[in-house]
Amino acid sequence: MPGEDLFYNWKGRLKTMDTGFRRLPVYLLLDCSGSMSGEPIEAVRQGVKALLADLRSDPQALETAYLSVIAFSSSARQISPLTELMLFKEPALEAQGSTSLGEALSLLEKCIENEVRKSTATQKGDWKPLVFLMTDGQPTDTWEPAAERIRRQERCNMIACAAGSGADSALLKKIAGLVVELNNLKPDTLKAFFKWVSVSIKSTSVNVARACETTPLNLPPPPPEVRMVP
Amino acid sequence: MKQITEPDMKSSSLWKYLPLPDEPDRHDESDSRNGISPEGYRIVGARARGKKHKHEGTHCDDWFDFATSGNWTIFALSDGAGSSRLSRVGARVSCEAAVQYLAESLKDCTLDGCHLSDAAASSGGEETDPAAEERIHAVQAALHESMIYAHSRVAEAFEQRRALEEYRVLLGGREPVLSDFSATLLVALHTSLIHEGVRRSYATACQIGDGITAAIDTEGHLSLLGIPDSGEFSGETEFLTSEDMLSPSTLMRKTVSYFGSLRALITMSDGVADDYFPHSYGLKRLFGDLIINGIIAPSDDDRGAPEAPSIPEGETAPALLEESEYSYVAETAASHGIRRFRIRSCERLSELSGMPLESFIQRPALMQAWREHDTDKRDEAEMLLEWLDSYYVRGSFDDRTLLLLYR
Repeated sequence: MPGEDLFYNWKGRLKTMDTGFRRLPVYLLLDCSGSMSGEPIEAVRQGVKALLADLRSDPQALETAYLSVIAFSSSARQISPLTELMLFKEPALEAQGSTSLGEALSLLEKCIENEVRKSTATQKGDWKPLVFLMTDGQPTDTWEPAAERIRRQERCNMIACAAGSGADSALLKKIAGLVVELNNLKPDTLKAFFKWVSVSIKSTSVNVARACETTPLNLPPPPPEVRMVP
Repeated sequence: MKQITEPDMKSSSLWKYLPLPDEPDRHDESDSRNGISPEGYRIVGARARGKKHKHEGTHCDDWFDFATSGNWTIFALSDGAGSSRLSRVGARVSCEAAVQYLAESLKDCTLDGCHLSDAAASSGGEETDPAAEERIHAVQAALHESMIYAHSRVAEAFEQRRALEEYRVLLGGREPVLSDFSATLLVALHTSLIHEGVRRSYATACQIGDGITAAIDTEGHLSLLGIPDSGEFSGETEFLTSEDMLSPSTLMRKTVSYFGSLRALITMSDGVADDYFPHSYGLKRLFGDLIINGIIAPSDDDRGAPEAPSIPEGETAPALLEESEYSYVAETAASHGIRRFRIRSCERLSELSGMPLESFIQRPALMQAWREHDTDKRDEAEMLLEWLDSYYVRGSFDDRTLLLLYR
């Protein structure tokens, strides 16, 4: 079942137990449309791989960060459910088709609803999810209603990345609280982006000890390849 | 039987230990202190620097202080905001101020001769004796005033540092602001009186922010003596530096009292409280863990307890279980390397033996935790500090502070 953690109980028998600890859920929404095929999607694969390795070397991230990947092209699919870092398997990313950003956002909503734990009298809720959305072009479906809902309900902290000249930063500004731009989809550029994603996750898993609704997300400054859009 | 280790977590070996940074307002990274209450009950307090702070080389932001004055025991505990650079100063100053204020106000105050009923002590309950009611109100007024006084002292500490160059440098070129000193504040008071021929405890507590105070009675019942500030989402809390937390009505609303046969009074920061959640069950488990790890010594009642009841079928007498079955070895990064420390779990003991946790809380003798300990020679505060510094809970890396009064 999603969200449950396994470990060996005191007699060596595998036991499912809701450990009730606060996780930092991280969702990667990755554009896998046709324009990403070839070098770009390979660079994304490498980026995710590097992100994983980097996070796994950080003890705080290792204990609290949970990762999920939603890939979107002609349709959107959660190819990796929210999983702890040690059990996370690199997703198989293929690039072809259009850019169903709206579907991706609706799917994100559903995933957050199903996977992220809320605080109750008997359950420790998760920290507010971090979402990294990366796209290289214009959406090909209706995205406005889902984007509006996500912004209004404030169910996550979203960072959108306009990768390359085909992407629309102004549009992404309507979806995400923070937008960054990449000049191109070259391997070095994407590497720098994913490194910044990793550093941001690590810094958030540290700051969550006192994360407060009204405190804005305090992310580390991005590298030169990643331009913050004011 | 398989040797128990803590749940397999690859992070254990990745945690670093970095010493305290070279900054103004240097605090020791930990503290532990023993005391005796006016009644002769034991007082134990300790604070441990969190794993996160050790890993990053930052200060412990928690503080505690306690004192006895006349018939009273006074506890103050504070947890500085992680994102506030000088919150440890706010934590220390507010605790010292609250304790100092109450030590002075309560030194001649007594509840002797008051007629309190068991129901009387809870907020809004009816006192049977107008004189008692007046006395209680005076005590609670002093409690609230001590927190207002604590706030003013923190504001003073801020003013003193405002124009100093070393703080401007520390904060990357800007002047300090009051919110750099943000910290929670929990204050608890205890006294006792003879009531119908028996010594009974009266305790009252108030808090701004998270963490919690709780009372466990001689029958193992738990009373929460706090209304923590926490918002709908994980991690929100309030701080002493927010002025609107200090109105008399807010403070009164957040004051909870207890009257009865107390076994233990415990105040703790969120670093511990969050690991024993939900509180209604979790804090009993905490009490059990303090006993089973030898921090709380058995009472005379416990020692004289009759043999354990006959063990029903399917359960195992605790005495037959190997300690390794209900304990694990915790590894902690320390200045000299890795420190290993055995942590026992009363919940595991309860699970393995088939006996409910409540049975152990009511009959601590069943845990047989002290068979190896010479109770007269222990330094309980050091044992508490070691336990706070070592026990493992996934995702728990905050500073851990706990104040304990027990008989």
